[in-house]
Amino acid sequence: MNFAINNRDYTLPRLRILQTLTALLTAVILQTLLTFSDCELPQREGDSMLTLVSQDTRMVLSAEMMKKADEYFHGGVKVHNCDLNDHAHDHDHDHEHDHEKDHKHAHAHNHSHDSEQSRPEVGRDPFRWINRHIHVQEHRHLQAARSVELLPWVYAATKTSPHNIMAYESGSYILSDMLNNPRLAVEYLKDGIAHNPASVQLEMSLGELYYNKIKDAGQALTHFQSALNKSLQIDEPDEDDLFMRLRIFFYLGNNAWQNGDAIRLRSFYQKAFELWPKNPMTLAMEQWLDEMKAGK
Amino acid sequence: MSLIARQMNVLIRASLLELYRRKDLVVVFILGAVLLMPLAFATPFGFSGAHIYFNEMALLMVWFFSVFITLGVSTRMFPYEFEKRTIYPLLAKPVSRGTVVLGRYLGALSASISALVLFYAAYIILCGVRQHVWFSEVLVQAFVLHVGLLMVITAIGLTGSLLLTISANVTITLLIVFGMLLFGAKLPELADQQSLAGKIALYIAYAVAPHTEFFDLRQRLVHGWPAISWGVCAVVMAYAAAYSTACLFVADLLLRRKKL
Amino acid sequence: MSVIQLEEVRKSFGGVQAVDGLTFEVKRGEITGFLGANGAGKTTTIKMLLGFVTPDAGRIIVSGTNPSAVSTRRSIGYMPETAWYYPWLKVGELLRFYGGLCGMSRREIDPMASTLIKRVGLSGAENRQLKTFSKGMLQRVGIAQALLHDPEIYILDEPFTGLDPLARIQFRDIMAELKSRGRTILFSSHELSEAELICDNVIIMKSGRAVWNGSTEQVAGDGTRNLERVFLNIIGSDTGMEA
Repeated sequence: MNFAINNRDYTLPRLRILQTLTALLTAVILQTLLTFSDCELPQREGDSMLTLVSQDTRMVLSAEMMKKADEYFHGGVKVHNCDLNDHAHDHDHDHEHDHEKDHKHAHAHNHSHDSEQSRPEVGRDPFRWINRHIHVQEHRHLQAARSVELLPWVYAATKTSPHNIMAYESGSYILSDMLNNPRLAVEYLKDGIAHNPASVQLEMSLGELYYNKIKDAGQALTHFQSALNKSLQIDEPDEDDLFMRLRIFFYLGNNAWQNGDAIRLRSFYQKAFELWPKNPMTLAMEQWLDEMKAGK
Repeated sequence: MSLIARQMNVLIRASLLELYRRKDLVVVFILGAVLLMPLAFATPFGFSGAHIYFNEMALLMVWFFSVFITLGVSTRMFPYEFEKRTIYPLLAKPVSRGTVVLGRYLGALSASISALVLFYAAYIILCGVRQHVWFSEVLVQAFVLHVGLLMVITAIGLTGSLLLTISANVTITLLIVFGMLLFGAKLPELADQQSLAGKIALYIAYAVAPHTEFFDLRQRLVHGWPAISWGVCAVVMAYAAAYSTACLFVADLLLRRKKL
Repeated sequence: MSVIQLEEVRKSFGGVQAVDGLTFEVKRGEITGFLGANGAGKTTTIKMLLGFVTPDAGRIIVSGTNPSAVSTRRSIGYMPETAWYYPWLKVGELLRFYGGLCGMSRREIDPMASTLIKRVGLSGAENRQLKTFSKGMLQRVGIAQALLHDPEIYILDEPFTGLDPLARIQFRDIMAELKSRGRTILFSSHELSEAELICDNVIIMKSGRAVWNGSTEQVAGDGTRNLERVFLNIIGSDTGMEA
């Protein structure tokens, strides 16, 4: 349909006006819906939509970089049911504990390769046959001495998003356990805490690092206490938060036991008992109390 | 030298001259240097000696740039001939349209391979200097299969250029090349999760689309896995040759039907 | 003896009759001017002569064979109307390219190319890429590539376009020399004065038909006419520009 006045075509300008009006109307409706609905965008005060989106993008990128590090750990192969974080979580426990829902902690190299897991039969498919020969069908673990190969991705992951706590955790594990450089791991975790001051996990990891690797109980206690304070500030703690709190009590209790402080040990045991009475960590604390009573 | 050999020779030479005089390669090398330089000297956490990430990034750039150069050369040949009307003096010579298609294909492929040789040379030098490893069987196989990949991309780009505009052709070819690289091997599994129509469509794509993932030995090369058998290599190259021939056959038909 | 023959040739594009029952022939050793207003069907006819376009009806014979056969084009030198060549090549490289397509060896091409470069007035520009050439210079390149394999028949589409007066004279000399060697030339042009100067025969096209086909002597008649007057009488009747 043309609107020809004085030989000029007015179709396009009219269409543009219609498009502009439609866009404005849509914007007004959206704004109204957002204002009057209960649903709120997950924004922090002062955050714009752009910040929100870019933060998410950075987080996604950072997570991808950690996946890459995990791939490197497995010889460039994507592996299901296992990632570098599992290894990071394994390292810290001289003790045994059982967290019913914490699958990550039950790492026993039972993971499978991407194509191993659901590897279909080749049958008469020549393409599949070729792919099996071209692409690696197994995986291996990077030797500790070569774990320096993982660092660029871990470094890039935390540079991309300093809020990627798992990246700090994995990085500190690589530095302290695989490359035997706990001092560097301490610096790295401190950097993580600076960027994530509310993180109980990082504070806890730093405490563990001092406690188990550097054997500096004083520093460790400071960080365990700080982790406990942060944990107690969580308004509605979930199961993982409570489990983390239990671990803090366990470490504090262990320190009290080693210093022969039965009063403190009992106090931490009682708190642990309230959280998880049957957990092996609680039971271990109970055992220490019994030993102290028995005067061992 | 026979007439056809002479015609191929000049068509190949012209394509090579085009690539080197248009300075695309220079731009790509500068871009590559700018992107790789910070990586080459990076020492995360003060540790030097991380090589895999650098090898992977360098090889990724070799892949990107070689695909970019190949698509650039192959997709603009015929559109340029038609836009600038050079097709008329070309076809006015005693040369068949089939010869023109084959000559243009070989020209684009030669130009792309010559660029690939330079890219791999740069890759070998960069990685060799860092790791003091200059040669491996997987490296040779990776190069050979990469040539196979370029054969397929050149054929698709050239054929597409007789049907589509340059930008549409480049976009579609890139989608096909990288889409198949990422999902090619998983298409049957994806198909089995679809409804009947989706299943049929994905199985057709699996049969017809170029399996660019066959040519990807980056994982073996970068992470130091053993070489594949040369028999498999030969099968993949035969696939590349067959796929390219099929594309060129279509291109020949299209050029014959093209209105001049 | 005719080297180009067209009999009742017809070609239409989407309902538009570009060539409508065209019949003419060009004899060996003659220069024939192919004239007509824009859209008269000249370029379509040339495309059919080169085998680029297949006629809907009628018969075309070039050098005794079907123009769509590849071998026919060995005997044809073609110069396109708009001369765009590969801009990254130098003139010598372009001539080597076209020479190679004609099956010439480097040993045959190189002396021929250097002679032609001088002859068309491109000496001194050998080391420049074609992207630096002016339109007139590209037109000279077009002439050189058409002459390179020394064909029997020359089909030239608007060869004088973009040439300066000196180049026109040079080109006229080249055409005369080709004629003296028994070569046949068919060229389309809007340059009536050039056509009158060098043609043996003139074909004037209108609406896809040859409305005038005769020698330049016939054009002159008793000496009171010239080509421009004849052209205007034929073509101008539609435009109100009759002589």
